[in-house]
Amino acid sequence: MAAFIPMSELNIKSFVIPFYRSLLGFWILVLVFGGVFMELKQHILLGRFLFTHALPFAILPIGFLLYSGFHLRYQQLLLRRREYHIFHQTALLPFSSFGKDWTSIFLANHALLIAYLAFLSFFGVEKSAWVQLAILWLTIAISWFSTVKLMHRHLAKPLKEAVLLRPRWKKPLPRFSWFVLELRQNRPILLLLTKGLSLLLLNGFFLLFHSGSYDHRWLEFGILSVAFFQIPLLLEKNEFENSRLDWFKSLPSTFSQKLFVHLGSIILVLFPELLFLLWNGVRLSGEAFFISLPLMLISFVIALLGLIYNRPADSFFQFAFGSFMLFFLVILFGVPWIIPVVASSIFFAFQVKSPFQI
Amino acid sequence: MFNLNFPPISTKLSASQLAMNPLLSLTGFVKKYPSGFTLAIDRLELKAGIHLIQGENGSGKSTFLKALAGIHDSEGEISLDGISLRRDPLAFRMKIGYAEAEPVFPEFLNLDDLVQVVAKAKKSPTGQVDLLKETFGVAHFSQFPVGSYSSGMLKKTALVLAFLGNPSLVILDEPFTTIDAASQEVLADLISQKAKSGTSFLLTSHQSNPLDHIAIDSRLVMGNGSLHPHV
Repeated sequence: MAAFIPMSELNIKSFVIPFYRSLLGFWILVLVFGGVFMELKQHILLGRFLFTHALPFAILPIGFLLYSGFHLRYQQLLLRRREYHIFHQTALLPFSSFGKDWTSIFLANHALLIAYLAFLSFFGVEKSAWVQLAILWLTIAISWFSTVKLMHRHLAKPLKEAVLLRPRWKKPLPRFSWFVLELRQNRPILLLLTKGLSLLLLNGFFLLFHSGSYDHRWLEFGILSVAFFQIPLLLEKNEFENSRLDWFKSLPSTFSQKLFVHLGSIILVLFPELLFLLWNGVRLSGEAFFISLPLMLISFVIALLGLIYNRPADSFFQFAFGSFMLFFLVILFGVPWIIPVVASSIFFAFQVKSPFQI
Repeated sequence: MFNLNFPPISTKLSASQLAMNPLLSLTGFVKKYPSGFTLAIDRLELKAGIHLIQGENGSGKSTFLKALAGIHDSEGEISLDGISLRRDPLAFRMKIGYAEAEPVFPEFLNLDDLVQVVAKAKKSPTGQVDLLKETFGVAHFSQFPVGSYSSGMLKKTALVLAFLGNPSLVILDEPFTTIDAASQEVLADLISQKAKSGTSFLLTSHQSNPLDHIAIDSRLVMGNGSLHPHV
């Protein structure tokens, strides 16, 4: 008899890792705000404040419901993908078994949020806010039950077919547009979430910069953070090129053609952020921010893409952390922006030079 | 649109089987494709046996089979052994085995993972998994990730999954493509053997050689947005 892996491990691989991977940018943002900008003392104050003020407290159950709704939608869209049709069969399992599997998936994907709410609940107990506590934990229980029930209902019926989207463009679509169209077709939530949150992050950095307490390095640090925010999209790009575009490796593309396609697709993906930077850069007088900041963003992103090509295995994240620290130090010590831009571009050029790289 | 009542022409089926209600029946079936193409079948009844659907590339066979397997939605009524797909989708799907023409699975899983999901869901009898793995010769790669499989290995994986449980009807979309000649023979024998013990089959195939070894009860042709008897 074959040595089966436990069901929970299969669920982790299929429904937990992809979910966290798609929310990587969101959790980076949460860690930056909750772990770097806030200290433990502020979390304690926040907990006491929320349990003594009814209206702000509403953020907790409503926020949890929104996250849970997003999670449900994400999993339903995932199950519409052809390779996930195999899990359509799981609706045939006894409901107790199905419920057990989806309870473990729900708990794993909500673990960080539930842990933080448990931490905040301590202050609810301290303030004897029993009604709020009941509302909060009832919301979690309802979200869990709804997720299991709705997932079962979703899988019990025939699945909706994925609608294939193609722009109303009669001519052949240029190669550099393929990746962004792939994201729109197969990773719309990831694309929207990454763009929305990175614009929010950029806006936050610009707002603080306008307060006058920070110099240009603050904006450069913001650019670095936003570049690292794009990692989930860059991982998708790598996967797209090495799976569905694998055949194109056989084309005798010149180095300049490859560079054009890569830069074109990266600029398309970064279009909202670049537009934001150009607009805000022009508004800032005295410095050439409208040139330096967009170029820095593109170069940091292509450096990360080059790193993914260079280190496709698990070690990528260690190297990514190392490069974040390196760029952080470069910014901190006020090294002219052109140096990291040129260094990143050269590194990237070397990675795509190989004939085995698309 | 047309009416099609298909009597089985099998000499292997018993009289009691022939007298039974149709195994699969479709009424007012309509499937609209994303391209705008529509397949419409007013009425179709298939009795127990082995049935073959033929048709040109892009005639809509695969999407039709996915609708029959309960994977994608369609309009109209589909019932198997009197169980309606619309009213009782889980009981319906429990009695269906399905392998698609170009199977895809999550690349990070292996055959054993996939078998585990389906065998549990379809209440596969003890020993069936090992027997099927041995029959299709997949045991040696069952622990490799799917991402490393060749097209033939993927097809064999889909075939193993289609036979799991106790399906009344096994739908095999182009089952003979990409697998080697020996495996084609094994599959043809398995289909014949299972048909003798009461399992029905709905096949599509562009290859005639392996089909020569199977006693086909009825042949249908898909074309011009409908299904016709083969003449």
